[in-house]
Amino acid sequence: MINLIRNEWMKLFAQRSTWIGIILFVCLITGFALFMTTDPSSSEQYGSDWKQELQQENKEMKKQMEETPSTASFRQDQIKMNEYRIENNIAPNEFTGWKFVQENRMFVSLISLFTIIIAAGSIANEFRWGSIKLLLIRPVSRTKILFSKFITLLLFALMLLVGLFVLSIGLGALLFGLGSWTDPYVFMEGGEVKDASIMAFSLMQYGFSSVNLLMMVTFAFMISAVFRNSALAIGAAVFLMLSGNSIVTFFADKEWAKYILFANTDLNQFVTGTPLIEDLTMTFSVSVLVVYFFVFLGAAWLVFTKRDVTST
Amino acid sequence: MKLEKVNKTIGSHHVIKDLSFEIFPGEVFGFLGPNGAGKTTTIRMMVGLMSMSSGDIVIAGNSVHKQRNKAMEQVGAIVENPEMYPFMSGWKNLVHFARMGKDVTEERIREVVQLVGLEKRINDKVQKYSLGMRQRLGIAQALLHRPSVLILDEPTNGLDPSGMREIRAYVQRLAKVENVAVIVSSHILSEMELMCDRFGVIHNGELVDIQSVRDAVQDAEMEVSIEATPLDVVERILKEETKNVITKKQSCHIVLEKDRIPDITTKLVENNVSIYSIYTEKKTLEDEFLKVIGDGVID
Repeated sequence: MINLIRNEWMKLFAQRSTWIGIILFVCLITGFALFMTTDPSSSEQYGSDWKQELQQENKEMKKQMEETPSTASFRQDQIKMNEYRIENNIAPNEFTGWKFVQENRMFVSLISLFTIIIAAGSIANEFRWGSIKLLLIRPVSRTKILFSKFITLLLFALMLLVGLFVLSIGLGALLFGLGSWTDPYVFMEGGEVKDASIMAFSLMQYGFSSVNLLMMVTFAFMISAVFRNSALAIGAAVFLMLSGNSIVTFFADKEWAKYILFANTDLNQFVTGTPLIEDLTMTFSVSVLVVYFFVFLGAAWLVFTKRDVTST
Repeated sequence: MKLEKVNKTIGSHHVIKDLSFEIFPGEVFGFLGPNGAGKTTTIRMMVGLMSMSSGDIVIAGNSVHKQRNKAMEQVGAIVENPEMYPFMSGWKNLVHFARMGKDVTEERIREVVQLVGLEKRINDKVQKYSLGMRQRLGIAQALLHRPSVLILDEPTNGLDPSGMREIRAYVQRLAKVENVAVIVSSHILSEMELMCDRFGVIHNGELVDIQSVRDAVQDAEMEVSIEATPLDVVERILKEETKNVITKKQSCHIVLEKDRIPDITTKLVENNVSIYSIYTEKKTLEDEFLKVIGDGVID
């Protein structure tokens, strides 16, 4: 199995498009970092008497709440968090490198896109090149070949995710300064204010963002295995990735809406926000995701191991 | 390698019908058939790319159906074109396939590269290779794990005459010296005649003939051309033998068994015919092939 994964890894990095993708990716992150340094609005400064400033802020927000009650819930959270800071003596974060690290979470969807493209080709291209015929006449089961390809994809995505995280921390430290690694980060969870170390919190956010990536890559991989067509796999996966939330909103009032994959892919919603559909819980979403995951892989496996390889 | 009543149905087409034959170690077996006869389908079933609807293929005692991996350890193959990864070097392609086999060392890879004469270009990317070089790399790939059965689909495709001769000599050596069973399919019949010991003809999914090349060519009647004067006397004498005489400007043509030639020659001389030449055209594999498959219509 390790040899098969080494093979896939070798093929992946022997293709020029992989390298172009990685270089583009690094350039984009660096470019974004440089852009952020020139953006003055990004740093809100609090002085040494930040407690007073926060109290002032709260007063203003309370006044605004009375004037425009529609935005009340957001402000209420903000007020609660500010009070929590004052009580527990936690100074508000300035725009340190950590905030940059958190903002860079949006690049996870770029990693998704990149990995989807590779997943879409991983089986379809073997058919297109004709090399599938040489691949499948070895004393290795088709199941092993399929899973070596899938594991390689996951390793590749993981490499990019770790790369993004490390690069973000590096650039953040270099351009904005990181401050402390253990600064507490204040956030709302289920209506309660909590705090966690900034490092742990950022890692958790990255982890949750990767869930969507994992599901879409698995989906693209399945399409690639079932239809042996990479363009179709890229198209379907990217379309679903972009329209996932609209699909959920569109069917939100239906009873079965909570079983839609995309209602469950954003696990961040249980930690920092309100779920798309009200009666969703973390446990429910994780179960739904696990079911989808195995259905996708099962379909890919079934077709890949059973179907004849006819002329290509 | 043994095929036992192999059947394949694709949709409503019964593509392969009760195909049974055996290939022995140390022989080169030619697999012939017109396009669409089921050659490639059969080869794909031999290497497990396609499943059989019924029947079984046994390679060195292992069923392709039940002990697939064990059977595949014994097989090296090129199915249709030798399609490798174009963006990698020939060497990396071989490393790739070596990793999928059992105990293929780097030394063995080097040995195989030398065998097919690709040492100088092995580090070039495959996309820069000519068809002939790809064919050689394909053969190298098939030999990596020292298979006891070698399946080559159109192995001389794209090779120049010297390349063909090399491959031919090499295939025969593999069979005779290393006792490998080689299965070759090709549409270049003259090539097959030179390379193979035995051949099987498949037509519309059925095995229609199987025999050794020497038998096929020796048994046959041959076409005899006689250039002589006066031609009308020749024609009369030949007509005593058979009605089927074609008379051209300077010669007569007739189809005969070999041992009738001396008799006829004597008769001609007795009748004062001046003979300039008598020559025979051996029936080739091609004639035999065409005779067996008829008009080659695919139903």
